[in-house]
Amino acid sequence: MDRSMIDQYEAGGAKLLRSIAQLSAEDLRWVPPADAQIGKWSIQQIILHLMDSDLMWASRMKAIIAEDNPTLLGFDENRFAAALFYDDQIAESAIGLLDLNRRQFSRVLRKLADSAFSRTGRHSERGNISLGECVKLMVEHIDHHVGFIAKKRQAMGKAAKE
Amino acid sequence: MDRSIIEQFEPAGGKLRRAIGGLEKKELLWVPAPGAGIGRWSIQQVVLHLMDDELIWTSRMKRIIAEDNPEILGFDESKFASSLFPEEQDAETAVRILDLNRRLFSIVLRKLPDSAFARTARHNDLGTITLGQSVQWTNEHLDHHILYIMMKRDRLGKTVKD
Repeated sequence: MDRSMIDQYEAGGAKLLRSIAQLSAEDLRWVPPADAQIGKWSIQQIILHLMDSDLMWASRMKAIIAEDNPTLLGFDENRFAAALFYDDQIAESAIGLLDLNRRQFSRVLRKLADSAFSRTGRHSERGNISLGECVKLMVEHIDHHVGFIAKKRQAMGKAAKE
Repeated sequence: MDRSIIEQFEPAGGKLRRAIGGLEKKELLWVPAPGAGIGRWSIQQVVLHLMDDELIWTSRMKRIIAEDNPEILGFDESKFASSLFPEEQDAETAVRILDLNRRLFSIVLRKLPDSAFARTARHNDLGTITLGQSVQWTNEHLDHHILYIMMKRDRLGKTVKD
């Protein structure tokens, strides 16, 4: 178990917050043209998707730690994005919640023995998944979406300054 | 549909914050004697339980809104309390998570028509449950635990002053 993964997990909220710096409410809600190859969601939708996904995965990881090989049910991210009024929610609050939740849950992850990261759950779509794989998936999930946020910023002429 | 349940749902984080106001770490971690009739958990364990439970129920409610009569699975709250290092987590952060989560999700609940609150899920322990019942359940759950926090405060000689 590479425990530096926990540090990356913990820092995910700050990374996400930096990725939307200086964008207006209008920029966040800009939906790319269907053929632009930079993802079909607005940045606002991505942020709310990441929050919903992160909170659900944290609960799943808790079940993996506390229970014996629990069943983890998938959810339909497209139906979530269509039904949960993502445009009406507040992106900064969503990142704030994701960040607080990751920092709190990192305290739990840090207390665990290496062996705990091999504990598993049975995901209804992915099959068996270990705790270590879940943490890695969460790190990669934000990185994946931050990559698309950067492309959308470029398409808007609002590329982030280094 | 009595929409005042949303008004109760939204500010409950503030209610919980007031319930633990002025308590020191050692008071939060104080475990009542078995048989005291004021619950077996420390106030810290109660607060972390409320945070965990809250995040799970909100994910469930999102699925009830976005999917069609989804299956939802119970979790073992005693195993969560014994495995997730509640004493190592931060009670104030837990309250902030619960508070922010309720304020964001209230935006979603307010956008829904009355009819959406009759949408259902199949809970493996509780049977069929509607969205409206889920909101009401989370309200009553928090009030139930606040009552026990008050009894523990009385025993600690730290009764909340009105």
